[in-house]
Amino acid sequence: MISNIKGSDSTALIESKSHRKFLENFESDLLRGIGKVCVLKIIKNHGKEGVYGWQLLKDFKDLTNDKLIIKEGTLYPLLRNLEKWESKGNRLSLIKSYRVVEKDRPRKYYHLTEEGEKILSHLEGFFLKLLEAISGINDFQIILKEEKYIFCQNCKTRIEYSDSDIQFCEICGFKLIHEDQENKK
Amino acid sequence: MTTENEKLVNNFLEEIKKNLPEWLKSNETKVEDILLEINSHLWDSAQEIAGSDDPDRNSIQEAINRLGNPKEIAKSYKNRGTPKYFVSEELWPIYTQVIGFIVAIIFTVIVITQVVLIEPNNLLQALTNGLTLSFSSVSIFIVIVTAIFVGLSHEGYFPKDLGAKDEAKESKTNFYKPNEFLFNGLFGVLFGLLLIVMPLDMINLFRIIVNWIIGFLGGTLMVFNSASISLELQTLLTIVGIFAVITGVTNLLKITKDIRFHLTMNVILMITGIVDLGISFYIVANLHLLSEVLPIAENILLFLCVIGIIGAIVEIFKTISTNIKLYGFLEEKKISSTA
Repeated sequence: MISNIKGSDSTALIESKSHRKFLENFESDLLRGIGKVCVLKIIKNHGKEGVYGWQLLKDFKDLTNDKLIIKEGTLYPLLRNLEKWESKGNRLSLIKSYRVVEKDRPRKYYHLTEEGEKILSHLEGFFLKLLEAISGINDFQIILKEEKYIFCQNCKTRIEYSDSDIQFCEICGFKLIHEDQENKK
Repeated sequence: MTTENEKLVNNFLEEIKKNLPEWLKSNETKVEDILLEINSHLWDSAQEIAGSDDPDRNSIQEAINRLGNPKEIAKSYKNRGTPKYFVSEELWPIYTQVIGFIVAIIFTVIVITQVVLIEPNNLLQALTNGLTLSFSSVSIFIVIVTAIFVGLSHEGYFPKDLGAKDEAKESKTNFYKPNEFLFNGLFGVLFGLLLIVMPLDMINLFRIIVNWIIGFLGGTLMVFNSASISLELQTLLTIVGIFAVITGVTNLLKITKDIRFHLTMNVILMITGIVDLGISFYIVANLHLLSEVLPIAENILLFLCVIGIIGAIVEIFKTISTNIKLYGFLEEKKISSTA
């Protein structure tokens, strides 16, 4: 869905064909995964009511300050994939949809399922911890809001700190160690 | 909203529809669902670009451009399945099953035709001819089937789109086939008891069936000495009967759903399989026992024994493989219950 980061000249190409091909492949793999996380996050922002495709893209552009090149049409296959993901007999529905008619126009609203919320928490935590881990190599700084969230010590799923009664990670079942417990030690 | 603008939008949607994968196109409701959603998006986008509820042609064209190439959008719906060589991982099991089925059918038909009809007195020549002919025929079919499956994988087909059973449901229940256990169980017990109690009658029944088949194919009927059988053959039939009864009872006991019990029963079936294999080798070493049942060329009897040995080996490996899968399933269950 995300095709690239906007530059000042959209027609400019990397001169070397082999460089361009390598970077296109690498970036498209990277952006495919990030695009899914962002789409899930925006759907989550709209709660149980959900959000329809066009509004989702509008939010996406607003939240990224319109800095990304987006292939709008490929959003719908991606949403379909999130709604009915399957691989070798394993199935997941991260989002669910329902249809309504607004201003004589049929709209399909998407909202997160319980499974979707769990998976998103994991993806967010994993992604942030990954960025934090590689920040030293790549000379940038990541400051995680540790006062707001805890991260599963096993699989890195992000859990809101307000849910301090949560004892076990919902993804891997690991017994969570809360910060106050660690301090006591 | 002018007719010309509608035409522009409809052409775009039609282009997407035309390029959708076949498995999706066959479901009209899903296609309609996809196109309705993109249509809504397009008009929302065009209205925003135009800044009015009645967008002009340029705004619609801009909205279409933002959506992207219709072929690329349609192609994104094909992105299903995990790549594995050129055939997707999801279609791989069906692909190998089809190949296995074709190889088995072609090989069996060609080799049996060679052994029984073309070279009945030269087993080696028959097998060589059979293998050569099978190899060339099988190669052609493998190329055709592979090409079909590569195409299906490229289009994003899943087994269910081809009418295959639900893999997720199957994998959890495929160890439990009560109808098969009941049939195999009753047949095994009945067949075994009849072999023990009335071996001569069973052999005569077998001879009648063989003669009926020969008669049906227009061959010369065989003449048998149906009055008696040797003590050695009678003893062998009793042993075969006892193990058929044990196999039958084991299959009947497998009707219970307990996986651990299945594992134990499968070990018994593995032992009976090894005994069957031993009996087959014993018959090969004492071919006169088989010619007492069917007075035909030794080569054909030997060929029948080889088929029996292959069958027994396949059965033993099938039981081992089922037990490995059941053990894995049991371990997985144990892990998920402790988590």
